Amino acid sequence: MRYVRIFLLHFQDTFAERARSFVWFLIALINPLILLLFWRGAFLETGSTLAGWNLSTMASYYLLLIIAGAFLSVHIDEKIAYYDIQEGALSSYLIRPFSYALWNFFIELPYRILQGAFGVAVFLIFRLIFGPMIAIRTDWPSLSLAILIIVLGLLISFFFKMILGLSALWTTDYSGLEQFFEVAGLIFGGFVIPLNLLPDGVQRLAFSLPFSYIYYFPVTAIQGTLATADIPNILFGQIFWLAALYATYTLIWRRGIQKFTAVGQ
Amino acid sequence: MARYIRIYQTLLHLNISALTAYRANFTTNVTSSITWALFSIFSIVLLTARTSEVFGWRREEILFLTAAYSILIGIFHMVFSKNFERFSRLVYYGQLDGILLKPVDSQFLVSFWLVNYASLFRIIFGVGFAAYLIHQYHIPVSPVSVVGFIVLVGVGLLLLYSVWFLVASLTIWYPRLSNIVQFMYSVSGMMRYPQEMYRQFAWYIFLFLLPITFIATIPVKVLFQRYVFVDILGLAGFALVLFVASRKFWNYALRFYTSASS
Repeated sequence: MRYVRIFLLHFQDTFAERARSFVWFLIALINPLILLLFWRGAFLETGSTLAGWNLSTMASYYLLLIIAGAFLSVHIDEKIAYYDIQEGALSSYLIRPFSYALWNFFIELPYRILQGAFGVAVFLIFRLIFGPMIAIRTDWPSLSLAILIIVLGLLISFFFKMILGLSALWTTDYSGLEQFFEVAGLIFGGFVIPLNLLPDGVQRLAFSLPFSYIYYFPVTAIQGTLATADIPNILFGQIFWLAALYATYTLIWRRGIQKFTAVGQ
Repeated sequence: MARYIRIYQTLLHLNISALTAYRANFTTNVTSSITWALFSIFSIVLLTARTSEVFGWRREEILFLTAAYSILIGIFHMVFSKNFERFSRLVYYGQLDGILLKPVDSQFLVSFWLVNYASLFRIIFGVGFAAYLIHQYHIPVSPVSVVGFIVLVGVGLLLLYSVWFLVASLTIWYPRLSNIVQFMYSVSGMMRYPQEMYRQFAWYIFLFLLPITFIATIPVKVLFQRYVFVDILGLAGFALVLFVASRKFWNYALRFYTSASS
């Protein structure tokens, strides 16, 4: 119940800072839209399909990627590294009877919901304009599995960013690391091109990293391009990454707070 | 003018001192700079892997556009980006007071205070990649076209700076919009693609994006000697008009600056 209150309180904050949230959403919007424009031009010029992808599936993919970028890209690392660790706000969390991870999850969730809602609105506008060209799964059994994959994707993204933020306990400036993983996420999450269009070696690497489980598989699951037979493997991969990241988070949290020194508060 | 050059020389020295004092920061900045340079190239290589020509540009020409983008954005990040990143902080915490009190042009000080030397690596990377492409694909370039390219990169930088400054000035009214800088990073990424790609948009959207699409495309077209004179005029015209607009808008915005305590 107390976490619900935290969630509701921060939900109000989210709306107080809706302009800031909208800018974050615009950031998530630009890249997929540009790439969609590129592919549209390429398909119209060549008039062909590419490894099973055509203009319609590509358009659905990138539009869903806008929602994924807005809903599944957790930004909690910035708050943890700069405010909690570098400015010392972490000390106030240490004396509260709350789980630090859960507290941060419920701080972040309202932002994901609002930005995800912006993404859904854009998707619906495109769907309204282009009609059945923008397709997603509509049968409930597949949709339920897709929602499960999305939720697991969000949790993987959350713990990944928690670890990244906590890395500031050991580094004076975590921005280099953050930029490195942002780029890795763009390439191996499927933001540049759908992962099955990558060269074989890079594709294998992409499928073994957590980024594909955060963005690519949730998008293809909801789009319907993910084969039903592959879903158990995807779920297994997601559970594996979630467990591994949670264990890593627990370990560095325990070690990290022993290192932490704060000023002021 | 000579006074401002002397001030900038001092700022360059001060920034070198900061760099030697915070070596770990410099290392992470170099890492991120090289990572983004690699990403620009790698993403275009992937996108064009299955197509030899798109929007009237051959694959090697699009790759060269990416190299030009790396040089241009590298210079921009080295000279300006860090300053824009602290823009909202200056306003939010009222630190702009100190800048406004100094007997130096405030736009100059907020634009040139910090220098990110780590971006030098991105510039070097871009130049190296451009040289490799010219050599590998036997791209015909003449000394005149190289000079034209360098001059227009300068004009493009002025245009890019003006657009960023206009947008960043909005933080006088909305100091919490610190992520507007991240937004501009994304918008600047649009320069990596051929201008012709954006013609797919409705004319009014295309017209709105036109200045951004000019910045890298026109210098590259000049280097390849396939430009139209109107394009160069367009780039120079936009740069001049938007630079003047950015100055006027800054002075107008300052009227609404109320410092942190008021």
